[in-house]
Amino acid sequence: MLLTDSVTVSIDDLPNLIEGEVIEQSHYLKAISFLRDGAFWKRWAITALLALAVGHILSGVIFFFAFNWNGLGGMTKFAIVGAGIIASLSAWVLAKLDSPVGKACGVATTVLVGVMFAVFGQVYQTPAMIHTPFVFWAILTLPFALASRSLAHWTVWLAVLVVAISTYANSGLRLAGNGGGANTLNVIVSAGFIAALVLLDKVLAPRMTWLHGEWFRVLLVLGAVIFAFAGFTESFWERNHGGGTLWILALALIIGFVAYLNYLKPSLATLSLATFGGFTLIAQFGMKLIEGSTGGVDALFVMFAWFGGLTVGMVALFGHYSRRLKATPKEGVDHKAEEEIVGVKSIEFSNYMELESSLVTEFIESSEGELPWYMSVFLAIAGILTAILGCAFSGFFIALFWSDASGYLHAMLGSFIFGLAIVLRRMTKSHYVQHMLNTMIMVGGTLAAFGFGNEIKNSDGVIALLLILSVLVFISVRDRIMEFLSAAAIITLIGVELYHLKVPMAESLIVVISTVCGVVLLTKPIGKRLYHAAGTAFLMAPAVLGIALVHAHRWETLANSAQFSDGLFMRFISLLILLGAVAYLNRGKTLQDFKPPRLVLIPLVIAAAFVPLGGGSALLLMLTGYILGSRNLAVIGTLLQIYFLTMFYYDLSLGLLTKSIILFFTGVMFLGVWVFVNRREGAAS
Amino acid sequence: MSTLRYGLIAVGLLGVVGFFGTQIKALETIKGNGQTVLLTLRPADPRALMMGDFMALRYAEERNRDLPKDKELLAEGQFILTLDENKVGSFSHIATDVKLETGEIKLNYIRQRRGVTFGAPRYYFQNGTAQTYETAAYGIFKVAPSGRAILTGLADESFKRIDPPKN
Repeated sequence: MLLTDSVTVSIDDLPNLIEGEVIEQSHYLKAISFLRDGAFWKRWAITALLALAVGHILSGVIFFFAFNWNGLGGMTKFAIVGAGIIASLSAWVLAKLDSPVGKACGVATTVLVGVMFAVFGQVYQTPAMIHTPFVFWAILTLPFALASRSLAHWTVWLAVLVVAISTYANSGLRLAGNGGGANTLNVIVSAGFIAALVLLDKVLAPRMTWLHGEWFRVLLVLGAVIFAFAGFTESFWERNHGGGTLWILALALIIGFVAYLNYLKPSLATLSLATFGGFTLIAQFGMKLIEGSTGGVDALFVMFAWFGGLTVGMVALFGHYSRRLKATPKEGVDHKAEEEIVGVKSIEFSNYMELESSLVTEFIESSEGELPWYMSVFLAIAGILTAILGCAFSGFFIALFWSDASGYLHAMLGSFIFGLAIVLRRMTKSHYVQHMLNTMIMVGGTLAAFGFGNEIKNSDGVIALLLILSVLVFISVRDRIMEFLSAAAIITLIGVELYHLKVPMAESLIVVISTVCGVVLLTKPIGKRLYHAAGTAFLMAPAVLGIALVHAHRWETLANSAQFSDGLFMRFISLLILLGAVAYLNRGKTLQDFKPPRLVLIPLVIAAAFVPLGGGSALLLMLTGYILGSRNLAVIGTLLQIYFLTMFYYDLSLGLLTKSIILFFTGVMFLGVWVFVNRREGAAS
Repeated sequence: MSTLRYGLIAVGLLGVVGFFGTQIKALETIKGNGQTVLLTLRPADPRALMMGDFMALRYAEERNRDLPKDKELLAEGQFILTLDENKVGSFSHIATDVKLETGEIKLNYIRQRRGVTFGAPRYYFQNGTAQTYETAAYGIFKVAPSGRAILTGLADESFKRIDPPKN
């Protein structure tokens, strides 16, 4: 009984419970609706709605001034933006500094000061150096950030600061020929991020609860890692040309940082991110070893071995972190905040699901936990790099001994490696071996496909073969990363073939296929397995395609350039599939239980209609995360949504003034919905 | 604590008002009283974040063949330009303490990896009016006695200012 009371069940346990046949497949959604943290998601939805409203209104203002209307004189523009700054500051004070509306107004003030700089730049055709307005923007808005008690406000301010510093390093210093100064600045900023994190952990966060947010710590670690990488890389590769030894300092900084995170303030997310940052620095030593070589088989072997060794080392470290943090909870470490997984007591869950509580408890106690998804992602990146080097090395090696070796020989060898690695992968439970075998599966599969491809000289044949190999991996390897990668490969290959065959409305077909596969795999276990990673990959595919089209819209051979901006019918299909997917995710629910409520869904769909292709899928990812209680999906969707809103700025199909009006009124509509929902919630509570 | 926070907001507001107030006043003075100079253009054009559409500008005098070699140039300094009858400036020499001759003008520069910049690398214009500026051949500057310059417009080959289209 005591054991049952101490064990909690979370949404993350469901795949294992289904696989272990503790829960029936048909009860998956019922279990989700019970385990989903309703109170958290209600707060999240209301905050997201306010953020959407403020984001759209501010974007509308930015787009309006970017339009640079000749009809408005310079002084009139200054007066309008100045009045906006004073109005938002007043609203911040009047709405109470720490209320949600007050905080939003504080952020708006910081953004409007940036708009003032933009207008100033237009009127006087300045600045000489691109970093100048960002530097002053950061300086002038620091008092506002200091006065706020909002991590979102600090995040916006830090973003301005980062742009100021990186543009100063690149345009102010590097462009003026002072590369050493730019590298030094990057390393100093990395150290600054580390110092800020230590200050936050040891001095500020213990006294101020509003600073408790693991995501903000992750953001600071990310800043430290990116600037250390920039400083290290530039200095390391310029060292024969006056780059100096600054790279040693950058490396020492990251190693010291990992040690701090490991011993003084451990958390899996920050530790794994900093460790991966260290990997990106140390990996460059491998490339340095072969600098000046002609790139023969020996150089490839050195690189392959170096990256392979580093990947194994990272697997070992991640395993160590994972075991240590789970086994020995330290004093002062807020594990709940760190993991951000909310569960319910096993006995409550068992009663609701009409299951034997001891069965659930024993199963959860005995099941081996997987590494968190971000650790798997870092290992996958390292694994893929190793696999690419492995492919190149194998190809060269074979060519060295059999200079006239046919493609079939490569294919046979690749098939053997592929098959053997899959068989062994299914048998092993060790994380080390699993990741090395994942790499070998990729090496073998690629070698086999290109070996055959070289002989048959038919791109359709190669695509078909790669598709078969991807499906084989998808079905036979139970590994989140391999599942994600094989699903991504499947939809990519389908897309490439559709383009290759010049199938009309190829993009819409990809949107339909991937969305249907995504929502089905995320909500319906097949056999005893829930393909959650594959579902995520499929659901992300249209958004990734949208990004590709945004950046490749001039590649007429790949896609029609009009598809980035126009294609109203395509957008209509995208919205239709979005609505269909939301309805499918809500199946079996009454209209009152529909998530999100129709009042919120309608403006969301209208807003999605204007952003480039992929924006609808980004919204669907957010909504799926909200409906299924998955924070990862919600975060991915939110980041993609911000990206598409930014890209809307560069879309040339509509004038900036039109876009400004669309954004402004969409924002006002969201604000209206937020006010209504907020009042209703207030009345209910 | 609240007093401090309100104080910070007030300091921030004063900073914003003070900064933009002094800068606008200084630049308006140059715009109104500065000496006019035209510099030959070598244009190109994309869209800037938050600032809209612009024409990227390079000036012939920023890469003049008679410029001293990069290492001999100070990181920041002043050029002396000679003005012709159309007020088109051409590089004469690096500024010294010697008084300016008639028909000469002083212009601030910042050294770049290649050549220098006069501080007006872009001309921002209303979205959708790019065609108007396709004939641009010169940048029109207003220059203060201190050497500080602002770009106030573009001119065509016949030195005529290109007016923005009326809405």
